[in-house]
Amino acid sequence: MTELLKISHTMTLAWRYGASWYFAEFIRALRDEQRLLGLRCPICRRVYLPPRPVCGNCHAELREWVEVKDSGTVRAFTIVHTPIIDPTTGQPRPTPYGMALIQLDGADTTLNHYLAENDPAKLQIGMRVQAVWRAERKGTLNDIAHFASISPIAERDAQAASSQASSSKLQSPISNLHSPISNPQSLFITAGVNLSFNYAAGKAASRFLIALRDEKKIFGARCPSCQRVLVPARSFCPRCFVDTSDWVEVGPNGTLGAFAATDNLAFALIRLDGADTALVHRVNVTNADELRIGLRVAPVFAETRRGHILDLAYFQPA
Amino acid sequence: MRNTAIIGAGQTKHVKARDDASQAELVRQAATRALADAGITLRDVDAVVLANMELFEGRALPEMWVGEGAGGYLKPTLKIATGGTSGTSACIAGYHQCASGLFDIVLVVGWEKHSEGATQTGMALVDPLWDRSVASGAVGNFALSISQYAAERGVTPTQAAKVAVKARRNAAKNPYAHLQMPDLTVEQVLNSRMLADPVHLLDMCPQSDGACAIVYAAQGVAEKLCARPAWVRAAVTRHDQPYIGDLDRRLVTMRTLRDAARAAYQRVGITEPLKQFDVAEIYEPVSYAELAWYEALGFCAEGDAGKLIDDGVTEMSGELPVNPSGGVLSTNPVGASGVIRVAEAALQVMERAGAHQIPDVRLALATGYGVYAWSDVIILSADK
Repeated sequence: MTELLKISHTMTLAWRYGASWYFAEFIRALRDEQRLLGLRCPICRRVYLPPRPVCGNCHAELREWVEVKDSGTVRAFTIVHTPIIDPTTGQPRPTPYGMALIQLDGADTTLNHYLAENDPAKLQIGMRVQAVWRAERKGTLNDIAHFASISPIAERDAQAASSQASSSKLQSPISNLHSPISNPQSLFITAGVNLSFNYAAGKAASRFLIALRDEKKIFGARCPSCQRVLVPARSFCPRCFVDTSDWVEVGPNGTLGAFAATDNLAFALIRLDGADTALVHRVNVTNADELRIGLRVAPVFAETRRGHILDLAYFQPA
Repeated sequence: MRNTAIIGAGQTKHVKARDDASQAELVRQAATRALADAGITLRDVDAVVLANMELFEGRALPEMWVGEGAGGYLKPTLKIATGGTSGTSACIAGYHQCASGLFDIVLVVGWEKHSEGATQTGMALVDPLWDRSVASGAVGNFALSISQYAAERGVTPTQAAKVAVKARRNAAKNPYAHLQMPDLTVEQVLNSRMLADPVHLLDMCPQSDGACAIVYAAQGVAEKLCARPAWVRAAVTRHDQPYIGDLDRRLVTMRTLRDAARAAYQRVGITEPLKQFDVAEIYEPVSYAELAWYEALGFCAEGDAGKLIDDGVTEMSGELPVNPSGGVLSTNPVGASGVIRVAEAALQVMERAGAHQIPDVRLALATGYGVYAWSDVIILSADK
C-alpha cells in the first residue's frame, strides 16, 4: 500500500474590526465610569444589553441609551469542563468555569458571561448575581471578571447603601443618554489567531510526492477518456470525471507557458515535456530579461526532500 | 414551481479521519455514488451546489480545490455555508434551482474533513464585539440553553441518555455511520466525561470526515429515471437573531424550527405530524436537542418529549422512527450532515435504506439546525 502523506500548514490570521458608535459608547461608559449602557428598541421597547445597533425582531434602529445595573438574574447556566482555544489569548482556557445567560436589572435580553461559581450544585436558574469588576479596566467585556452570587440580605443592604449615595450620582447625568452620539469615536477591535491544518494528500498525490522525494521523478497521470496527461498526477480527470489510468513520467525539462517575474524569481506555468497541463512553480534566473514564453527550463531538486511540492526546489533555464 | 424529486443519493463511509483521500477525492466518492444511484452520469447534471464550512479546513473558496471533485467543471456551481444547516440549506437551494425551472437535474454535495483542521478554534471565532471575550464553543452554548429547557420541561439526564443510546443502536444498522456502539447503555452515557453540565461526552455528536450527495430531477425527468422518486413537498428555512442572549429561551421557544415547521406543514397539510410522518431524520447535535425538537416539530405536547423517548415512540419499531440512520449523534461531518438528513429521508421514501429501512414510508421529514440562527425543514413524499 502507498505511504500516505500529510501536508501541514499553520496559518496566522489577523483582523481589525470596526466597532461603530454603539460599541464605542458602551465601552467608554464601561471603562471610564464602570457603568453598563443598553439600547432600547423604539418599537417593542426591549432594552438590549449588550447594545445592538438594530432590533432583530422589529428591524428598527436603536438610539435610546438606558442605564442597566451590574446586578441581575441567572436565566441559564453551565459549568464548562471541555477546554477550547480562547480566541483572545490563543491558549486553551483553563477549566472548569461557570457560564451564564444573565438578565441584568433594567435589561430585557441576557448577557453571556462567566460565573465565579463552578459547582453546579450551588447554581440555579433565578439566582441573583452581581458583577465583580477588575481593578484595572481596559475597555473589554472582560473588565467584568465574572458574576458572583449575592444573598437577598446582602443585596437589600447594598441597595440601602446605594440609595443613600445616589444623590451625588444623579448629579452626573449619563453622557449622550437619550440622544444619538454626536461625535462617535473610531474604535477598532484587533484580533488574531493561529490555526493549524494537516491535510491528507490522498493516494495519488502521495505517490506523486514520494516519487519526487525518493526518485527525483515527476509523474503525470493519463485520463483514459480525453487522453490528456495531467501534472501533477491525480486520481481523476476533472473534465471527464473518470479515474485516471496509467502513470507517465514527464519532463524533467519543460517549456515556460506564462510567467510573472519579480527581479530574479518568476511565478510560472511550466508545460513539462509529455504533459498536457501546466505545473505551477517557480523559475530562478540571474536576470528577469532572460524570461520569455517558450523558454526551456530544467528542474533543480532540493538537497533534503520530505515529500512536498518544494522537493522540486525551482526551475532554471535549461 | 415544478414538482421536483430526489432520484439518487450517495455517501462515503464516515470516519474519524480519511487519510487515504484528499478533500476533492472524498467529495468525488460521494458524488459518483449519488450519480450511480440515480443511474445518470455527470454529463446529465445541469448544476452543482456545494455545502462546506471552509474555515474548519482553512481553504478559502474550497470550490477552487474541491469543486472539481463534485463535478463542477463548466457547470453553474455555488457554495453555501450556514453552520450545521449548510447541508440542508444547499439541499433547499438545489431544490429551488430545479423546481424554479432553471435546471432539470441538480447535484448537491456536502462535505467536511474535521480531522484536517481546527474546528474548535474556528467555532470560537464568533462576533468579536461581544462573544469572543466569553466564547465557550458549541458545547458551552448548547449547555446554557439546555439548562433552561431542562428546568422548564423537566427532562432528565436519563431521558437524554436514552436518545444517545437510540442513535448509536440505530447507527449499528447503517454501514456508513461513524460511531458504531450497538451495545451502548444509558449508564455508560451518564458516566461518560462531563463536557459542560449537563452534557456528557456521549450526549454529543462526534466530528467526522465524510461527504454526502443527492441528485434532484424535475417532473418529467424524475419518473423516467427513478421507479419511486422522493418528491419534495416542502422546503422551508428560517433565520433568527444572532446573539444568544437575545433569544428568549431558545430550546424552549425554538422560534426558527417552529416557524419553519408550521409553514412546511401547512403546505403539505400536516396536522398530526406524529401520525402522518412515517420517518424523520432530524438534526440533533446533542441528545437534549432531539427532545426539544420533538416539541418544536409538534411530535408531542410541550413537556411530553421525555415521555416520548421513555415510551419508545421514536425507536425504529415505534410509531414515528426518528433518525434510523443514527443521526448527527453518530455521524457529523458538518457540511455533509444536513445533506445526510435529506439523503437518508429520501432513501427511506425510495426504499433503498438497507438494514435501517422503515417499512412502508410514504412521508418523511428532514430538518437542519445551524448554530442557533437557522432551522430548515424539508418534507419528502412518495406522492407528488
